[in-house]
Amino acid sequence: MYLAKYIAKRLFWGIVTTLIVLFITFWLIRLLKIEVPLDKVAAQIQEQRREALGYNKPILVQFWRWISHLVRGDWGTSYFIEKLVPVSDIIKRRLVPTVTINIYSEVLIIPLGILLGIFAATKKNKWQDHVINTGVMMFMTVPSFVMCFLWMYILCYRLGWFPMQIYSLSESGGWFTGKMLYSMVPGILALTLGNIASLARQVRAELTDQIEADYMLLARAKGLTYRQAIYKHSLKNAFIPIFPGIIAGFLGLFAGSFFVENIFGIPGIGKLTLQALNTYDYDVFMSCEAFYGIIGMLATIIYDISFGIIDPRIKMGAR
Amino acid sequence: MTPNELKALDINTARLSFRENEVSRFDLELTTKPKSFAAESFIRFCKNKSSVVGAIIIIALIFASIVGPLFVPYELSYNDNDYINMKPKGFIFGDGTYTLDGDAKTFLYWSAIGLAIKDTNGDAFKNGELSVSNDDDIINELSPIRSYVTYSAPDGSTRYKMKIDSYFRMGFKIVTLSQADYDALLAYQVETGEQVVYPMLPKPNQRSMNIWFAADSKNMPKLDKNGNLTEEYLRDGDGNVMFFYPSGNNGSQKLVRVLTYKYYVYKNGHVPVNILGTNNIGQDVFVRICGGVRTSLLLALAVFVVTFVLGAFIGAIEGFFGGWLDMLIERIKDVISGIPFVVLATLFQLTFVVTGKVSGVGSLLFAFVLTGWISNSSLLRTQFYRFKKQEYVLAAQTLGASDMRQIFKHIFPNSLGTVVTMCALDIPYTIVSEASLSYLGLVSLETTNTSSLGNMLSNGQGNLLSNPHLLLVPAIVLALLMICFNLFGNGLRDALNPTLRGSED
Repeated sequence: MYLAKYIAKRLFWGIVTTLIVLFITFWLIRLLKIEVPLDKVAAQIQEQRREALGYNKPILVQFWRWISHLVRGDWGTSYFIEKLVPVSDIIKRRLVPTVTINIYSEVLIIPLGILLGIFAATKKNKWQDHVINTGVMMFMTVPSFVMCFLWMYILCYRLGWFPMQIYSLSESGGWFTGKMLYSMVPGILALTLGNIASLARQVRAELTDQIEADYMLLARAKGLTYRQAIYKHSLKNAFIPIFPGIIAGFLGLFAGSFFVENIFGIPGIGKLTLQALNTYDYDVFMSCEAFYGIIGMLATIIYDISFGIIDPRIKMGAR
Repeated sequence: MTPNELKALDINTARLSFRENEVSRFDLELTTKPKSFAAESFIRFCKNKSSVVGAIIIIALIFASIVGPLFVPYELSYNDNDYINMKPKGFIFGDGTYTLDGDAKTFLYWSAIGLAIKDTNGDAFKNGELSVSNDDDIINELSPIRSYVTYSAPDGSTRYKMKIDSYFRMGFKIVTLSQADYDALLAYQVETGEQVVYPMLPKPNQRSMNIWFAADSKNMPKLDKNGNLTEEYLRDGDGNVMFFYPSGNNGSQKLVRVLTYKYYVYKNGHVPVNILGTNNIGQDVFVRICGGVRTSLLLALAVFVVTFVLGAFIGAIEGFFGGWLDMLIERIKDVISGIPFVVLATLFQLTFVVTGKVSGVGSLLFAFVLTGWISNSSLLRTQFYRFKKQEYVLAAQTLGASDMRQIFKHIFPNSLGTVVTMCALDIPYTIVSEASLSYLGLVSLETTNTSSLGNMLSNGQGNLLSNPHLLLVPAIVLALLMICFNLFGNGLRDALNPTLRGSED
């Protein structure tokens, strides 16, 4: 019961905060000065369009109109990016490449990150650990877009193994073909390595704590081998703080990346947001922001709740 | 008791003796000097090898970015329209050359530049002194071709692999000079013995001043019966070579064909050497990178100072007083941290920078400060919650210390280490945010007098195929900055944490 109450409370506050943030974003994006075309006719058309869409009304009226339509499933219409196409259609279409590349990355990140972390923890303070730690530090600190450039330079330019930009749909025959996967490899590498490093570091830190715990001594005293003791006892405990992050990370599949998508020419949701911001396509931009806001809110709630589900000792929200 | 009062007591001091006079004391005196917190932190920091390396590299980078540009004759605002997309030259970076694979026509074009350089007075070709087939004539210290090899292509034609020096590839160009400028140039030639002015061509508006030979409409050279190029210099009525072409009102201006390299030396007083090459608008990449590093660091430092002060102040108030004030500020922080930073930065850029009210750095600083204090104040808030109920604060309170005294004299110094470290890790974050925003083109710190690593990256991405170093060098510098600042920050965190004292031994 306490869990339902907790979720309700979190959801309520989450929605209130998201609404306020969305309102401020809504207001800020309308503060951006739009360029008035030099051509008089074009300027008049633009002015009439803005008048018809209610952009000259008070900001609260506009926001109410937008949010009430959003709740009813009408996300608005794009004008500059794809003329007069419903935003929900655009977002649905743009989500496909983003989710595809993120699934490919996640498939690499989770097993590799966990395995590397376990390996480093069991070899603590030996040379294998130092090598992994150095790699982790390098890949975690170098920002993802610099990583993109380095991969682009090495793999696409120097070695010429991969195309500079991903193939178009007509070239590859679909988002899920092998050819598309091949052209996505540099982008996937740029997305995964940093995340593998941070997951490995987290696993190593948690596991080394657990390996030094008293119950491990008991397990060894009972006659378990080192390996058995790690897999039966300490791994389970080490994963308590790690799993919620992984579960919440699945929602991150929908979050696009500004950089990977822009650098490798992937027509995903991150690129859409940037395009919308650059062209002042209000409806598209606000829908993207609402989409991100809701995903972010859900991710934190799921993160908190899954703690309680994985470890019954933890009662979220209880005093 | 004063000595006088003691005397008044009239004690017989002869009967008194020192109690411990004969007893030897076994306590040792303190032989070590007490160390201050700063000294101890420094020693702990120095034990961490990787952090020290990080710190040294950071200091070296800062030093290089300030001092480095003094050693090259270029400034941030410098650009040259002739010397664009130069290859790195000097040091270990390269020799300024690139390989060009071409057919016989391409080879003739390049070798003709080398030939024409040797023809200083315009008579060499007439006298048959120079020949295309002679390598010594084609390759000299000013010629674009440094060396070449021939090979036969699958279709049977001969192809040439040429090593072209990018600093000499422009060959000749045309300049418009007034009579005074022209005289000065001639005087310079006499004084230094350098040949700058070369024989003029008959068509001053032709596409390239390097086509000095007889050619058809497709610039394909017409060879004479010896297989040699025939020159087509501008000559006066007597058949003498002319070195200028009069233009403007009654010939007040002179069109002069000059060797670009020599003319550059004449104009700038130094030879063109760009150790990291130049970009596609002819700016010196090395100087721009140094400028970019300076901009990044300056911005990061300013953000560090402002957010530290602001975050510390708000966090202290929140943590110390708690209650409804804490609740209110926490909600405000939730909202502000939810606003997408990209929108804020873009908004500031468009409202303040484009209209010219604030510089790009200033508006970005404002955007960073607006969101940056949140994490710092949250951190300080938890520290205050941790410390404010401890006994020593209670003792201070009992003794009548005011709120401000408790905050700044008792609690704040204890949480300083954590907060400083946190803010130090904000520096790499600021640097990378600035670079990514300017890479995406949302903010622009790139003007004639400032440069930004992010702009250089987006510029370099467009030129990846022709000039990969334009992308690679700023990317490596940025990566190096990130790694070193993180190493440094981690070391600082361990060094300033007194609970780790002695745990390494």
